Amino acid sequence: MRSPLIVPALVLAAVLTATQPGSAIGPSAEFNDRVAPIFRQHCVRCHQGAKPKGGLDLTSSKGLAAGAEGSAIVVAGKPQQSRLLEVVSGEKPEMPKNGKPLSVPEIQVLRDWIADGAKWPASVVIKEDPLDWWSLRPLVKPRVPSSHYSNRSQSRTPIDAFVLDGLRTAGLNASPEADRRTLIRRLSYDLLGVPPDIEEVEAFVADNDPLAYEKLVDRLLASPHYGERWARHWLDIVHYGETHGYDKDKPRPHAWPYRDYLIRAFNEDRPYSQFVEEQLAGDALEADSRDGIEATGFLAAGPWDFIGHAEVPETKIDGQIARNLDRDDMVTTTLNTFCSLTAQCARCHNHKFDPVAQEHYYSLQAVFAGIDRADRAYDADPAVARRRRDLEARLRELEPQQTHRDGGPSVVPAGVVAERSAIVAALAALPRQSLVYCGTVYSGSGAFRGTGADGGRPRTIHVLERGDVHRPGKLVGPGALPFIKDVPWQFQLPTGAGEQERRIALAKWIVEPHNPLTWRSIANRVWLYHFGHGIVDSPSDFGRMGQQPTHPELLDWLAINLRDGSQSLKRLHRLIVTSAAYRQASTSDPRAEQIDAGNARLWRMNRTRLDAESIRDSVLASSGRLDRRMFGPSFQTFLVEKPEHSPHYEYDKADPDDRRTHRRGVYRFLVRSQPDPFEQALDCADPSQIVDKRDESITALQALALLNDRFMIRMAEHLAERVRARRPDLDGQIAEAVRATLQRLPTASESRRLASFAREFGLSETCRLLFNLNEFVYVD
Amino acid sequence: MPDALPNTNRLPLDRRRFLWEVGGGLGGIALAHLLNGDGLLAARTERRAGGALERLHHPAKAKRVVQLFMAGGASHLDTFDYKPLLHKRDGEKWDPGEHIELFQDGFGATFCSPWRWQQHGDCGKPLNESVAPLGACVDEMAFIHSLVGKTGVHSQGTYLQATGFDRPGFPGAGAWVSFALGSANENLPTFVVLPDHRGFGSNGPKNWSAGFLPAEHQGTILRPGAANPIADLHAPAGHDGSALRKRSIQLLSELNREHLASRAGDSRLEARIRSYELAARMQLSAPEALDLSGEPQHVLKMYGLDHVTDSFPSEINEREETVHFGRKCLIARRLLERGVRFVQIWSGCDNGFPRRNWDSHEDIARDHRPMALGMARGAAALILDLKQRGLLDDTLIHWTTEFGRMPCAQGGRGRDHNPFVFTNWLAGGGIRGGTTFGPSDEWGYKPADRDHPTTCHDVHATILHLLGIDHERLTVLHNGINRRLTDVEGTVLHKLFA
Repeated sequence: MRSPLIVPALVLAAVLTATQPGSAIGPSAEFNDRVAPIFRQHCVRCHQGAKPKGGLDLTSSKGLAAGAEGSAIVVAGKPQQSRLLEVVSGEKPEMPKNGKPLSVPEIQVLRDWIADGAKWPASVVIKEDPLDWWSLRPLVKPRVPSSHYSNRSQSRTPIDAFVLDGLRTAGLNASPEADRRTLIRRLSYDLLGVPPDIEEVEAFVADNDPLAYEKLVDRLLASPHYGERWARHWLDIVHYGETHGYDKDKPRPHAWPYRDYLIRAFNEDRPYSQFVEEQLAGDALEADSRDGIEATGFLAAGPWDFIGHAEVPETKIDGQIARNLDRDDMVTTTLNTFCSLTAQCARCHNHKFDPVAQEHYYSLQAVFAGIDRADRAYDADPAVARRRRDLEARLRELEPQQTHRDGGPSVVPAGVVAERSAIVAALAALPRQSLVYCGTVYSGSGAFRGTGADGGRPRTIHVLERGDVHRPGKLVGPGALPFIKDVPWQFQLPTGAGEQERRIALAKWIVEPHNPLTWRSIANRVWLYHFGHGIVDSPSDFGRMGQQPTHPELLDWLAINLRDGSQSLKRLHRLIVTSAAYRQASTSDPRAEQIDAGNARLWRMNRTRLDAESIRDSVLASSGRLDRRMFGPSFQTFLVEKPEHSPHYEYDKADPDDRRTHRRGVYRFLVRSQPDPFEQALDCADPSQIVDKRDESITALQALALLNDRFMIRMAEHLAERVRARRPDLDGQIAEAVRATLQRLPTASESRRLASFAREFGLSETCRLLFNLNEFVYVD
Repeated sequence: MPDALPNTNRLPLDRRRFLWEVGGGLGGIALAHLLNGDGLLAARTERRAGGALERLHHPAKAKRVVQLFMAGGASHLDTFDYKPLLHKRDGEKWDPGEHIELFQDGFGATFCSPWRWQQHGDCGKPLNESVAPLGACVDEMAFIHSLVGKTGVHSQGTYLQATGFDRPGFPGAGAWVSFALGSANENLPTFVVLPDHRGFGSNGPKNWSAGFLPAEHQGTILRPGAANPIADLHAPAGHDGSALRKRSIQLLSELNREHLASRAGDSRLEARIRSYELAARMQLSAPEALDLSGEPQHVLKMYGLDHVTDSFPSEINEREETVHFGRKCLIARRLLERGVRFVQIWSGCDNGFPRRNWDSHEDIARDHRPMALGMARGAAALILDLKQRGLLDDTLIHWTTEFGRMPCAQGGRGRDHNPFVFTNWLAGGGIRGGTTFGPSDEWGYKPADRDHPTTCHDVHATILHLLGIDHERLTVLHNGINRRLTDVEGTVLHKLFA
């Protein structure tokens, strides 16, 4: 690797000639307050220690004087000749090598400091504190800024106080409130994922009640469709799919109970701690509970290498690699989802940017070392579950000894025989058990045996040098990360503790009130789905490679508000959507664009394109076809051919008019290897990767899908039939079609042109056109 | 030093895309060739629209890539890697003097190829009879015999060669190239995939997904001969008249512009209007690119397409392989001429039975011979055809597979997986023909120089290098890591360069 700091020979001679870095008292504070933080934040991760990068140690005055492998990097008093400034400035600065460039003010601080003699007090040694990072600092409730606006419409909630504070600092103003039609459309898509009926829009627009908006919010939050919308977000994050992925891509017919669990949990407004705990260890914490079992579908949501498990035993190298990658997926999903931390970076080496060592990472693998992904039988009714458990226990008590001491056959008393057969009959009479694909102790045969035969005893986990199963290092036990003061990162479990205790311990560590990541993570995710951008716009990475919060105090305030309240997400939604910030219009303003084109400060609401499911659901709703029945097995938008070996998922052969497929998108069967081409063109989530924010592409292929897909053609025909049934005249039919798709009446000019188009090409082609309008797929 | 590009997923549109789209790039560029009737304009003049690299890292030797992917694990020992020792020891117990890890059971004797080897070209490269048609091209080709994989699992091996990572979620090589260089003709997709006619190989379309790159960089499946060669290219009959198409786009555009008028400053709305105009043009250009009816008889003959039937026996057969692979190669040439950046052609699909891919556990002779001959005819025709058109100089051809096969027999006539060594070859843009690099050991079991094997990362780094891209500087920040095609590895194979 080449040295990052190559000092021109000319400067070599001029080693800090003008003034030696001094020890005057005044500049000491200046250095400590302004210069040292820059080195600490940007430089010393690499430029410290026995073998600093480029031979440059930037932790002390001695190191600075020694320069980069002997070459001066700073010429006191002469910023132009100082290599240090050269490497951090410019359009693509050479340094910091893997981090964010220094800001203009930071560079100016360095320039001034060098011009001023580059004084570095000898007593000051810079040390990097790995926990000194915004997301790892303890949560401290910030003071709500005093409101600068008496105007109630601009400051409705504490959120607005924070947002307005930021706007004022940036010299920006909030936008006025959006109109009622925009607001109900925005709220309905945001909270439910479906458009409002035209009747609802018209009633809301006409409603004189000063609390009409708040009442609408409450009504929508109480709708069962809320759970469907927000479960779909969650499925993106945990990369839920219904086939294994990898080779052969076999289906998982019993994955859906986890999806149904999520819908119920959101609708019932499960406290967030419990929501986390159930998904990691519900089977252990809430034995006999349907939710507890189904929630552990979380652990198995991601892809699974069928061949690497089912055909290759753990005794073979390839089998070990497959299982290592499988646990990696569990660790990654858990830490990304709940803590917004990229712990997976430490699989091959200590995390380069965040304080996660390989030992921590493999301790997290040890948490999941007892389980596999498999179908698990359970009783949906807890009473049945308890009865089954009791009966089975009694049956075991009645098991005869294998042999008598003398080797002869045992003689079973008649009473026992009778009781046994009564129990067997009682068991047979119980309702049939359900299956859920989840993370569980598995008892199998052949190559895929699981740990069931060992009573679920976790596999031994070693630190693997460079992530290589050939190079096992230190043996590790279960643990998490050293981020919480006074909470040890290695789990202190009693001897004989089973694999469930490990998962419980991790869940408890995550929901620990002092965990700095968990509460910020969920508050930010909720915010992101409402606004289209997060306060931290890298929602699964709060580490040093992620984004930094645009409103750090607001995020902390929301996080603490959630944690210390009833941990109700619905309360958080309500707080956010009733804010003035959320109710703003989305129209642009040239002056504000110049200051903050990305709208980081929220001087307007963001216009969002509907996601893939919402587009499909809206098309179905407009054409009167949306089947709003909830729950149950997923509908399939494909036919399966050659299922016996590697199933072929044939989307072209499915009937787009099949009514079973007209349910909401959250119930669509998700094939990993071959995603639904129509939904994929609209940027649906890829279940093979963690999707914390949907892509929003604009492509010709997307235009072709919305124009030409058989589903779109057929739904346009249904919409045409629907409006024909309502109105006899073409103008009336056009008006109805526009109302059904755009939730408004057409203008006279629109009406005229659409009618003329309809006369030439037919009403259903006109409906098809309406589905393709920007206004249909964007929400203001 | 990697200079991280912004993750464009996170931005509605970055500045470059914004300028390009609003500045008329999406609409204005590139239809010229269709309208002018000069179908080959795009390939001749270098155009780059929407690429993430503002300029190349160094001058490019190649502008476009064809990747030939043999699904199932093509045997190096029955195609390109001649091992006299196998013929000498054929039928004897195989003992390489170390532990042998097989993927399946059925450890058999040393097993030589069922066919003969013959030297070709000025370089004298020995090729197996099964790939003899490529003999005419060996002086254009560079063979790498020291490729190593990570596991013998099809899925992981295929992911590794296709995306540089052994698990799902990463962009295909073509997606990276599309992302870096952008499009040379917006009327066609930048990255086109021609799957095996029988179905997808291991992992299916995940092998050419965009992963965390913007969705437009994912491979677009093209199905020659289908009513819709690209998904939803045309509406069903009765909904696809040209007057309807024209008026729909017109009225849509009109209404969308009125909607935009009160929403100034949102470039996405403008870009979406243009995407419909582009879609309309793709409806014309895609069928034109796929239409082989204008190809002269002598060209069809080169590709083995002069006497085409479309009914074939159910077992793998030479005629079927030739027709399907040859047709894809000819279409690839037409796509490359029209500015498509990266074409991936697949031979073989999943592991169903009767066998329909290169995974010859049971019988090398039965599967490999027809598959190899069909592939070799098409690949040779493509190389020679590009050469006679002057396109070989800046078109790179890469042949690969998920792993090789074992020097010993499995069950007498088949071969088990060998991820420990296998073969790739490159030809065309910037490659020194007649090269053989990194020999395997005398058995073809592992690399001769075990300390210096070649990995897919090296090959990917080399391909990017020839395209003018430094593989360490083409990075995208995703979930905390500056991701690149070559993971944290990859050395450019300068020895292969002309």
